[in-house]
Amino acid sequence: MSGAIALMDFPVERPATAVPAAPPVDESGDRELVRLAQSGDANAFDELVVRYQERIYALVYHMTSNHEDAGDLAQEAFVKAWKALRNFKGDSSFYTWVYRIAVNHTLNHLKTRRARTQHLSLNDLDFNAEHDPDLVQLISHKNPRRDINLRELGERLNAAMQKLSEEHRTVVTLHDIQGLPHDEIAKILECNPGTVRSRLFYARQQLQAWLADFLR
Amino acid sequence: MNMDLPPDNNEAIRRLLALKRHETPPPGYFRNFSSQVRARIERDAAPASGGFWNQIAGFLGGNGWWRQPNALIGSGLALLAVTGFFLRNGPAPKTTLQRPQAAGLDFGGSSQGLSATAASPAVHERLQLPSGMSYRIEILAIDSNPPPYGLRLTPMTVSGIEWQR
Repeated sequence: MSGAIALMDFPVERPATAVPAAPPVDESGDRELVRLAQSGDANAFDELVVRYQERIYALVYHMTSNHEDAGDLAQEAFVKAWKALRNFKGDSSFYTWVYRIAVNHTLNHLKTRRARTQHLSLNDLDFNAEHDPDLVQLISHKNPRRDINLRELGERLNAAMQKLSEEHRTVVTLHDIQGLPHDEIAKILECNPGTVRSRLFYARQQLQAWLADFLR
Repeated sequence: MNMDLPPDNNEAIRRLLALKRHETPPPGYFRNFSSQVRARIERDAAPASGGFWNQIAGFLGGNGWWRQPNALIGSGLALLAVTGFFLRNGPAPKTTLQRPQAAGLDFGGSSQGLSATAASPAVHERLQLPSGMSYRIEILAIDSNPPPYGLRLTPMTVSGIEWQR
């Protein structure tokens, strides 16, 4: 994640887990970079891309469960953002705006193409995963053959996510995986926070049923 | 929207989902990401501004230059000049191809050089090389104007070469 990230003042409903939410965003420099990019400064836009590339990639990946699609769609989202940048009036933060573009672009992709189910492999879990107490507890509790369970867990999680409707998957991704607050998600999805909470509630209910084996 | 949803007792599922944060692409994946985005932007922009016909179409359709009186008059004068040039030169029917003297080659045919007209486009000549190889050259069309000097090869079409040993 970009190094220029400071604490985000979102009233986040933090998950009770050792896994940190996606690092908060420092939007202070965005406005100037956006202004420069709007005047045609490609380097300024590059900086914006660098700031948000990992978040956007992760967002798309968790919505598609596909590494290749995530790379392509994330890049396409930034291309769309560049093309639409002159129309960006600053009513919302650039962060919210580019997230909205990525979400809509990914939803369009999912609607027009059947999502493939090519998952990240075990090796794609980052180094810290092995030290995550939740994960260690889960694995050791289930089975001492932790490699098998790690892979199975990843596949089951992705499969369960893909069973969700696209709108439910989106809010789960944004809230439970990326750690965005309801209000911010509502801005991105252009709906009210109550809708976000409602979708989140029902999505969790479904996931709980599908992943019951891992929740005992 | 229902704002009084019961508090979901899904802490476990939230913790489980949070584990997905560990799913990250391989190290170095984002090293060239912004460059790739820029390349896509440039690639997308290229056809819109770089294609010749797109440029012509944009020029004709975008600015409506041809609606300007000055441009219209200029275009008319240019058209008249081009037409006058062709009318003045007229369709001269014959072209003479001079024999190259310095090449050390021996044309086996007419000593006056090659000639062809649009009405009788095929002229055959045998070209004899010092090595003993000879070629049959067929000239189908030659510009109607006589060449002012030397060997004039354009515009003409050589359609066939026969190899003879």
